[in-house]
Amino acid sequence: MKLAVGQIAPEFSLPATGGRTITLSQYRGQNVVLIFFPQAWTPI
Amino acid sequence: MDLFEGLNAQVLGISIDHIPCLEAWAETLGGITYPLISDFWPHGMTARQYGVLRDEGYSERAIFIIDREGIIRFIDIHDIDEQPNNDEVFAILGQIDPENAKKHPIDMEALAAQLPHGGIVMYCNTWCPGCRKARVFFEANHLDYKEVDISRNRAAAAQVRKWANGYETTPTFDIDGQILIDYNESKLREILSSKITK
Repeated sequence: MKLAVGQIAPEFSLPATGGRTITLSQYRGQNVVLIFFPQAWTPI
Repeated sequence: MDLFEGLNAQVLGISIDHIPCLEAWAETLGGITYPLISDFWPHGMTARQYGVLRDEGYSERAIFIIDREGIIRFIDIHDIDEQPNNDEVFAILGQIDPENAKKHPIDMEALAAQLPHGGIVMYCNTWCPGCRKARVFFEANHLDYKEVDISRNRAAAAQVRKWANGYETTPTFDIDGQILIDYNESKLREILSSKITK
């Protein structure tokens, strides 16, 4: 399934560095730049 | 990741790595100020939902810009070895957030100055049929060329509009300063006659 511009970004709630849990909707009201990278130890 | 310092937006990195791996990596990078999110379990589920999970089990290199309302405003899935172009990210953020644009004005002249010159330069986009034909033509004739995607580079789009009477015609070629609008094989052959080996 491919997403397109104009669609609602799928929600996620996942563990993150620093012992945080990041939920996409917690950033409502801010712009988010979501960067997928293949694997750690590769340049982002 | 330093590339994204100064953007007036929340930057989130995400990969299929598990947390200890991400923590260790963040440390070697001297501490990344942005959260790195682990899409490890259920494995790659978020990458899959965003359509960027590869069969090998890790994700593409991709950028999504999501606006204040949670709407996707920009998608860039780029070559795994290619670094994202920060100017593009700034440009999109500027479009969806005028306040941010004021803080980071896009220097169109500087962007225009970075456009390649000399040899064959093809202004194109990823989907245009003429661009596909041109790629086949160049490869069949062993001609080196550079591509500039005008959908990703506003300075390039402005340049094409200047040449093509206000239209963003693709492909448009700059061949050592000679401009050819649209794909036309016989004209390309004519311009490149000295370079094409028969």
